[in-house]
Amino acid sequence: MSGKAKRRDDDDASDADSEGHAPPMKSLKKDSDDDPDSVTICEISKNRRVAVRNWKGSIMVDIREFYVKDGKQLPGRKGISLTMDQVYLETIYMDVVYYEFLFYASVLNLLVLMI
Amino acid sequence: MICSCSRIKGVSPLSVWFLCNVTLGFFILFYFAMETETRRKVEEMVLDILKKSNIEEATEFTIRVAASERLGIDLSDSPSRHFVRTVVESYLLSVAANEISKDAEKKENEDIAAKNDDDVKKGDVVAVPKLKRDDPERVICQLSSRRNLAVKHFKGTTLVSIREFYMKDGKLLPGSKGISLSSEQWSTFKKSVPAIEEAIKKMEGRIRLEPNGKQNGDASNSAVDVALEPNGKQNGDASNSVVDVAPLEPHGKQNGDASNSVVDVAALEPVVPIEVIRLDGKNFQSWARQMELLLKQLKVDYVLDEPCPNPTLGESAKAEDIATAKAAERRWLNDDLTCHRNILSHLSDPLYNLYANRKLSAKDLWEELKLVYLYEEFGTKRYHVKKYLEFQMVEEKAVIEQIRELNGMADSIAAAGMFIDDNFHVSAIISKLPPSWKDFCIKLMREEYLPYRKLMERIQIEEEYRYGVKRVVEHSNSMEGYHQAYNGGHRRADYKPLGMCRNRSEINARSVPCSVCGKRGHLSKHCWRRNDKQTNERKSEEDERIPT
Repeated sequence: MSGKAKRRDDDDASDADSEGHAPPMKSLKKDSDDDPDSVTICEISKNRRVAVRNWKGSIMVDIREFYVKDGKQLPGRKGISLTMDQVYLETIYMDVVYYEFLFYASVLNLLVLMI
Repeated sequence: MICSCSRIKGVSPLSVWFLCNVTLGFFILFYFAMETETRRKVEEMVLDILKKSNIEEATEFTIRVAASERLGIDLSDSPSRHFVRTVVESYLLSVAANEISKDAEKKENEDIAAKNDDDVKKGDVVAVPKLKRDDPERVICQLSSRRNLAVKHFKGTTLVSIREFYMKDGKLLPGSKGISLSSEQWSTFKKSVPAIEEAIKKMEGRIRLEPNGKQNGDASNSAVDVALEPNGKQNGDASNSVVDVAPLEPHGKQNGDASNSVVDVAALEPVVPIEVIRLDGKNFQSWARQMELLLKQLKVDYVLDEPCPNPTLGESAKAEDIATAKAAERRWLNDDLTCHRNILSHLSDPLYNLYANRKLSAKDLWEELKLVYLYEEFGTKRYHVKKYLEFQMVEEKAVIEQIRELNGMADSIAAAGMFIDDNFHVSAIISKLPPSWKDFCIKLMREEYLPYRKLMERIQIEEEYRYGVKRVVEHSNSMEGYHQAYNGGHRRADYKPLGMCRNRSEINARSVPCSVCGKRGHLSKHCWRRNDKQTNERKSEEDERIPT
């Protein structure tokens, strides 16, 4: 009887050990999952960034203005997150936007000349 | 939108660009020349007309005519037409009509413009360019139903606006969600497009991996759970198996032991390393010690200490506990039987006959044997000591013979476990000499060192001397012999219990012949030839006397 009791105690001890190990693994996983979600591509200006993020399984291109608070840069209200299809449309019409820029520049030059 | 975009892409010669710029600059100048109040009135009227009328049926020309009629102002000149067009297009943008309807309106507008040109300026050679480029804000493309990528002019700077619009009062208005990029920011963003694409690919790869990772995590969690549950089950199984195996192994061992004991008995116990002598009633202590070793070797000695386990105690216990208790009880009974048989097999025949027919457990048998024979053995010890202490030598017998009897008693006492010192024994012999040897005792007591052999030599010499003295006395005076006989009778009266024994031995000596020399008058154990030549000589002398 004493032998059986000892064996049962040993089994309980082993269970406790295994239970003790589980929580840190879970927490580690949670910590690791957060890191690779967003990739900052570049900064358009000193407080504006373009980043690629993974939000709920879908990829988003985030063009957003950041603000500084308590020494940390946090994403602000000014900005827009584009889904993949929107990003492709934007890419297609980038040349058009460039020509528009040229057009308006020329208009401004004419106005200056007029005045 | 696509048509307009393609048209814009088609514009490539620089000369065309230059001509358009000059013309547009001219028109813009006229635009600013109009009076503010007139513009305000015209804008309000046009908006009212647009709201009331149906957009599908309305055209720019119709709207302009209606406004001119109500206001009473001629709006057929170029600046007025441009202004009206601007107002109409801004309204269209706010309404956010379908692209198809927009295309249709554009075509109609173009036709109307051509007609107007023909009507108003018949002689003009210069072609009027498309006025859409004059718009202050042009929507390049729609990212989604409510998101637009547009280029706009704000405070002298050109901005690219990616903004989300919201519906309010039937109008699409720019909301707070969005961002306006300057030309520098836009160019930087354009340069980083390849990097963005690479990042998108990496992220897609990660997304493919992440579900696997999550599955792995779930699998690991489930594995942990499964690992715990099987462990619990295995533990339960292990304990069950222990319960099952525990009674089985002892059975196996018992069987082995039984077969071993059978073989030993069959082969006259050649294999048993412990030789247990049979209990004859006087050697219980040594027998018990050997028996305990044997039972321990057979692993059944616990039966004598532990009581039989009772399975009926736990009626409310579980089936497993009941089974365990029954197995333990069965094992105990088997061991008890083995132990009982081993004890009986090592008893002498009279004791075996006495105890074999009685139904006792091994423990009860052991206790009864201990009660009877251990204490009897102690009684035997006391009896031997008493005999040794009360022994007294007499005149009729030879002193050496009586000393041998005393030695036998001492040996029995030593065999019983009590040690007797040689000096003590020698002193006892001296103190037990007959009264007539008093002088001799005093001499012996004075000597410090007197071993047993030396004592025996002295006694023999003294005895020879005393026997010679007796012969002289007998021969010299018969009266003295009578006195001696009288003295002997007196001593007999003093030692009655020993006298009876002495008489018996004398009777036996007279009747039975000696087995050593074949002569009568003494017992074989007292024969002279057995002991010494001198003793034999004395015996021969006595034999010579007896016939006389």
